[in-house]
Amino acid sequence: MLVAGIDLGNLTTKVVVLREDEIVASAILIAAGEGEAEALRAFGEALRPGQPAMQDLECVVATGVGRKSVPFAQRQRASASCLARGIHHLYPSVRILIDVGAETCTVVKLNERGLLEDSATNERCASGTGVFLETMAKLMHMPLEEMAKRSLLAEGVAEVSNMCAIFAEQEVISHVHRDPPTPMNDIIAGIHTSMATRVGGLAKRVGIREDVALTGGVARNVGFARTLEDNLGVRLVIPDQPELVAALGAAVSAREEAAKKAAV
Amino acid sequence: MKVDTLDTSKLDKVVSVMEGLAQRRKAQSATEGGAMYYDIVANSFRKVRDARDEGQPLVAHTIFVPTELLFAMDIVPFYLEGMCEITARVNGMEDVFSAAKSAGFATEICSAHRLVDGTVLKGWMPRPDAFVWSNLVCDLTLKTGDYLVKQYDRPGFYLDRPYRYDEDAVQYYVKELEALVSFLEEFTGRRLDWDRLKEVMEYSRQATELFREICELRKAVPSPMRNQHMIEMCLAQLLISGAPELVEFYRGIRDEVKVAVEGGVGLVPEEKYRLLTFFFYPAHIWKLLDAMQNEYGAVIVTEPHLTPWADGEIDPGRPLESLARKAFALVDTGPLQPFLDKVLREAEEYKAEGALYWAHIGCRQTCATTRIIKDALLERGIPTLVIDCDLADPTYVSGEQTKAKLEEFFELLDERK
Repeated sequence: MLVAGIDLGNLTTKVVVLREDEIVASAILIAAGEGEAEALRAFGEALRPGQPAMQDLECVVATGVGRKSVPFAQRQRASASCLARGIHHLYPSVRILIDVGAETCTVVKLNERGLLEDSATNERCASGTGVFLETMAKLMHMPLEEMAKRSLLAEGVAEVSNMCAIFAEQEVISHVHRDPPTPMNDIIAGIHTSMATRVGGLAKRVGIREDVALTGGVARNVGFARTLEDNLGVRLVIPDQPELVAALGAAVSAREEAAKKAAV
Repeated sequence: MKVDTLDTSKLDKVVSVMEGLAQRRKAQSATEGGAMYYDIVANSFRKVRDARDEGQPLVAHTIFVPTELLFAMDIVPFYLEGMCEITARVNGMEDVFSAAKSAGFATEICSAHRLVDGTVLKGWMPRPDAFVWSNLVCDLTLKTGDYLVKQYDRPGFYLDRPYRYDEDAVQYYVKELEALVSFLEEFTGRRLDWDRLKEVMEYSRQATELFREICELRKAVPSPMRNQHMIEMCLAQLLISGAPELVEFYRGIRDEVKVAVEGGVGLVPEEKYRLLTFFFYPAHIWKLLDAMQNEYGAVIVTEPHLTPWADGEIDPGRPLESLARKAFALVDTGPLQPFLDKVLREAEEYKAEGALYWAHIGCRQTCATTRIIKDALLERGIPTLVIDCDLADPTYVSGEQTKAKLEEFFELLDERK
């Protein structure tokens, strides 16, 4: 049985193709343009020559903010339930998932069958999302990857607001221009701590129960991940391709839909 | 800053809008009950607007001050929180919030109170002859009363309801109500006619019994009542408790619901989700209530914050004691345990399978109990969606965002079936 899931996020579109339990194709596309076109391009990236073809797919499920703009998807599902299914497919022991994407942060609680029990999403402010880190990286005049590693070398943690991304920006600027300036690594550690406080707070609203996974593009930020571990007091499970978990979950959901149809 | 210039033309607009909505509802509604709510609102605004011209004393009051006493003395009640919110919504909420901000009210303060302060500061409400306020439902209500007395430079009376419900507390509150009667008599120059109060209390008794009957009928499966009706019933009670029009309204709803229950007919063709809801829905979300039932088959079976009077008893022969006990029926404004017991009991009686918690950002006490209630319900297998929102400010969370969260929650409920 060949199925696919597509996750249309704020900045990227992700596709995962499953044959039974195995991921046979995937793609991550920096999205531009309207939903259906992005979706088709993402499938084009995933299903290159030698890969299965679109018409071989028995079911497609769409998730993410753009899920309603994929007319060829047989079903649309909310992100939280796809995240639950996706992480359960990879790590059945996970009970809490924290997904930090470009513009959203979602915490999901799932049960032993991978079904959604509870969720919470960031409201009102980008200070717990990837956009916040990107803004800070620009402010620090360094690539995100470098910023991620440098916080691990910090000797102290600069105080940076976790209430608002704009306030945080102002505080970072004042740290840089202080006399003497706050060490760069300490500022970066402060940025990560600020974000971890925000994200950790959201996770605690749902409740922490091990195992806890971190997914989304921001999971690749090793500095942030370690800081979040300190905040939560747990070791985080981080998949190899953390951006694909929701799309994987959508594919798992597609498999369920296809199986239901076959049983009828 | 004192309120100097009054512009009561804003109330004309409210009356006009409410009359229009009443006409539309009558055209849509197959029954009288459903159509009466906007008539009640329009009428209440008309009376407040015209009180001075008609030589009637006007008393502005905060939520849960017993309007029965006011009706018994032919005083026009002016329910501040509800009427200021409606006036602001019809005439321009941003102007009102802006006025409140200019007077130093931070945006973190509950928007319901900022709307009262802002509407008053804009001069959009008539100058009342007196104020009556209490510590229901929060300490901010208490301070709002203090503030308004200064702004309008009018006499005021504060009603102090104790935190815990016991016989001493009831007697204490009876004394408070006696003192309120003295205050009303003093500033109006009229004596309370206790026979008239008995008549008013008889209407209150009938309304309470109808309310209880409606709550009982709502336990039926499938759910027989439109999602929006309970909030309308609650607001109508806050406006005109003790008036015959409230009895008529409740009777209309009761008849509608009874017919549905007797016929085994549900509100929606396919009832999919039976939900409890907590606290007040933001006003700009009301239209979502219809979408919930019509598009998703999600019916609201009960609202523990809005149904406190279902267990009440009114004895017209003991008016002040009845009003005192009625005030204590608001269990969510006292110790948590009695409210939690009510929630869990109703979850079972109404066969709820999910709950929505409208976590109004400005309400400390409601938000403080979110997790406790959520965990208690989850132990009974009932998940809760907590929706961070603002009671009055539509810019805090949009209808679309709320709809997206609801869709996600309904998926969760599907998976649990």
